[in-house]
Amino acid sequence: MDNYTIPHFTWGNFITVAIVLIATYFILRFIKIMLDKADFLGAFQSNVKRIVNSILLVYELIVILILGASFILIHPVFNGLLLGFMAVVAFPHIRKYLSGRIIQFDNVVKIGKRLSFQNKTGQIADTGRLGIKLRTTKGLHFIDYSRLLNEGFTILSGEEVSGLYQLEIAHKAPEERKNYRIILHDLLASAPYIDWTQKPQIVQSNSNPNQFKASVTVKDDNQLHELISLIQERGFSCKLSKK
Amino acid sequence: MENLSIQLSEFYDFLDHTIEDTWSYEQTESYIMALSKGLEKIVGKAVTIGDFSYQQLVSTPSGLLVEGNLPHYVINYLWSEEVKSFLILWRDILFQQHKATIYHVETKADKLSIDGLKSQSKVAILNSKDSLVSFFDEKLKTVNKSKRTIKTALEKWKLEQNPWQIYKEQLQELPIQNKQLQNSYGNLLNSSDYFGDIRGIVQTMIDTIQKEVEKVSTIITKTKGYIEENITEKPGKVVSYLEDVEEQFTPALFSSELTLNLDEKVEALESKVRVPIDTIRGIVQYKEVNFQRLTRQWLDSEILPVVYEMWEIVEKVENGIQMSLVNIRNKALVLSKEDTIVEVEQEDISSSLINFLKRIDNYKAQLDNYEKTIQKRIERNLYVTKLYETDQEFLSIPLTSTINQYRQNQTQIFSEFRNIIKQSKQFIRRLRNTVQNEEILSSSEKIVRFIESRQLSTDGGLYSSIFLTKGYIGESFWVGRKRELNHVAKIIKQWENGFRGAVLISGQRFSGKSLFGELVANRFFPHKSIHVFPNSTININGRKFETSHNLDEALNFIKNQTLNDKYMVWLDNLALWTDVEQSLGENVRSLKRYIDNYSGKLFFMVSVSNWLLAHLENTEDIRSVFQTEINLDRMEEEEIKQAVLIRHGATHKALVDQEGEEITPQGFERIISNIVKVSEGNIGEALNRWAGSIQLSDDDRVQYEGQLQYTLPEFLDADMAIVLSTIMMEKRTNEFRLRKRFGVAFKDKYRGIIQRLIGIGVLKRQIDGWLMLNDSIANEIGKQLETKGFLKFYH
Repeated sequence: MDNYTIPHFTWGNFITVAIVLIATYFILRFIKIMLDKADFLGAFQSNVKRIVNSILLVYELIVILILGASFILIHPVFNGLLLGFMAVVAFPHIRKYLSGRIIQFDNVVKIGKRLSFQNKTGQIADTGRLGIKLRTTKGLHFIDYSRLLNEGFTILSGEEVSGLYQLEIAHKAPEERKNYRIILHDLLASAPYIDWTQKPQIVQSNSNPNQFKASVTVKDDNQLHELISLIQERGFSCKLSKK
Repeated sequence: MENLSIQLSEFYDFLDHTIEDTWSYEQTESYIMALSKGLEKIVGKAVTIGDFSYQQLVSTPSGLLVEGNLPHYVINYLWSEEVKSFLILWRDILFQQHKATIYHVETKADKLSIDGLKSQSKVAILNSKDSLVSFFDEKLKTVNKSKRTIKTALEKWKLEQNPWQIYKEQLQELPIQNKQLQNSYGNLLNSSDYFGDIRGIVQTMIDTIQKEVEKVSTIITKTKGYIEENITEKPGKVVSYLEDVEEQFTPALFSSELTLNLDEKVEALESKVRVPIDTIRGIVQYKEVNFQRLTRQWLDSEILPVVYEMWEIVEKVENGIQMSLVNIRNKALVLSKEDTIVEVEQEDISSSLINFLKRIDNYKAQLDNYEKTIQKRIERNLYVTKLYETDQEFLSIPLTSTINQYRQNQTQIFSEFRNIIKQSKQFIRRLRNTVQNEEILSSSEKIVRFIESRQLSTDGGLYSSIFLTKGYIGESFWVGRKRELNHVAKIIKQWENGFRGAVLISGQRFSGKSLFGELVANRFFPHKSIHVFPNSTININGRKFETSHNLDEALNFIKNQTLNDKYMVWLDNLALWTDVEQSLGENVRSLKRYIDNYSGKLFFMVSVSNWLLAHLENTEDIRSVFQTEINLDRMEEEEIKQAVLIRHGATHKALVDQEGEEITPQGFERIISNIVKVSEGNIGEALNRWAGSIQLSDDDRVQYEGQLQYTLPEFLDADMAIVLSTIMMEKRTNEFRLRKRFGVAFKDKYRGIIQRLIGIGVLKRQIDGWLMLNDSIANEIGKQLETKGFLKFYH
């Protein structure tokens, strides 16, 4: 009776499963390449691309799990022990791999971005399965994903990065009846360089009502200087106090 | 007993009479009909006698052995079998006569044989009748030998069930069989006729072919004769003669009429028929035959391929003769122009004709062989009488032909498989080309391609314009937004009861904010709505005010002029209320003040884009003064469908597909569903896409073409994104304003970016020099800007 309830897996089944999974992987890769290079699906292309990318991200994991299960099913006791032993030995690498999947799901760590980890700052030269290679002035550093995840890292460039700056602003020739706080507020509200998802804080000086400290967020360092120029053009003096 | 004797006597007389009568017919058909009718009548009479005896026996109480019943026992228990044998013989005679007639019709049997069969049948039936007649008396005599034999017989029969009912059933089966035989006979005669016609048509085809070749042969012979006579002295005459021959010579075309006739005859054959082919031990043997299918298969396999081969020979011959005539004519022409006659050339002309004649003889021999093959095959197979030959299958196809057919089918299957491979290769090649083409396209080219795909064709004409008209065009075109309208109605009601009246309408480009506001104004505030735009004129109760970009002044005027009345103040697009001197922030603060102070008396309705709203929420906390916000980003699919239908209906044109077929309601649903998905429920985008997909077919029809689906490539860097998000916020702007907003960096950096964006069509310069985002891609740009975090496109 038991023989009918326990699935019977052979090496042949295992190889078949492996071939199917590998073929599927190549098909997915092919689709990804096609979608990256050419526009086939119109308005649906981006959604399909996203789905395919997500599948590919976890596909290796799925393959490992399925093949592992198939391997165990061939001979549960012996193969199970063998696989268990390999898992124990390879556990640190498995952890790095899984951490990598988690990090890559966020789409933040990509080749070309600048990253800071501990005291190392540089550009991401490569992203592998277990870690990244960071090119710094001192050379190429390999940092595994589990360390990145555990100890934290800073992305220094790209759309996700904004710079928070503190500016010291004062009107050069203040007039009596003018409310320069509102004028400054309006100026910053209409300035294209400000990232208004982080609302600027304008603090008026107690000693001088025409002097302000403004905490602003800009998208890019270059645009900070353009912002400062704009403020200065409007009759204010403006300097960077600190980052 | 007396009664029975009388009946039997009458029966026997009837038999005599019927036999004489039946065999007296000279005409075969009359004879057959008489046989058929005779059978039915004899059965009837025999059944009557049997029933009579049966009734006698049944009416006798069981257990009682009555000597008087002995004849009835003989009738039921013994005579029935004999009469059955007689009638089966009669039936078999009928069957054999049918068979013989068909043989005769197909000239497989002569009249003598038929007559001989008839005579023999008569002898047989008379003998059987005599046997039947004497049977009863003899049997009765045997049983009546002694009391003991009588008793033994009676006791034996008493124990046995009376078999008369079974005999009766069997006898009554005979008239049914009779009908079946007659029907089948009729079918076979018809089939025989059709087979005859088919043989005739095939022969006609063969004759036509032979005639054609003969015709060519005659022409060659005559031409050869003429050339030999005239080529030496009058080559010019030969040329004219040959030209005449060429003109008169018309190559024959394979007669499709004959093929059609053949098909017609085959179609006329019966499909499934049950044909009696023999009788064995009194049982008729039937065979199921599908004449139509078998004949078609057999002709396709055995006859037509050979006919086509013959026709190919004809074509070869005719092509050959035409070419020969032309060659000879050209040679003769040359000869006629030359001063000296070249002997060699003359021989050359004659010999080519002689050789051609020899070739024709070879072809003729081939044709004769083919003809013999066809005739042999027809002779062996294409006759109805072949059905009766049980040692071979009717219209069977020999193994070689089957193999050839199988090979042909296999070749067909193989070639279909090859086609599939070929098509797959072509698909992959096209895919590869597409990918290669895509790879070489730059980002700018892809952007231009995207914009072009979204451009509306001018072919749509008035049809498209009804879909593209923005703003309020009347209640009759209004569809949906029931929930939103009910919401506004509720706020208005509350306002009428003294609560704050301020509604914020938000949405993406083309989501219908302006139209919604207009509708609310017309429906709930007829003649009591004030539309406030910068640089326009407000007219309230005869008093006018010229607005600038200062909203405070405009609102102040409105407040002063509407002291006694309740009005709706409609600010369509808050983004317009900014310029170099007047910041938007200041205007928004004024608006907030007026709403706070006067929204009990004036009903404020303000429309703003999602991204500007998000920005103003951060900078001015704008939402706090409004009673409610209504977002119009998405419209229900059903409502969009209605909107399209209403507009389409107003054009009075039929909608057809690319084949010119009118699109079904289901097809229409599918198209709409697709458009709604792609436009994410944005009504304006959906109507634009619909208009872009339509081409004018004629005055009464429009054709759905579908729109090419491309995606806008991700091309925004931080600088471009800042420029585009700024322009989106303002909706329309100019370089002067932008210079003010960007500062000194504008000249060195951002002006160039703007020029580039104009160059690829992302920005459009209007007639007044102002800049706007290209309408056809505005929302796509907004989505990309949201992805990059530069503005909030979605609500």
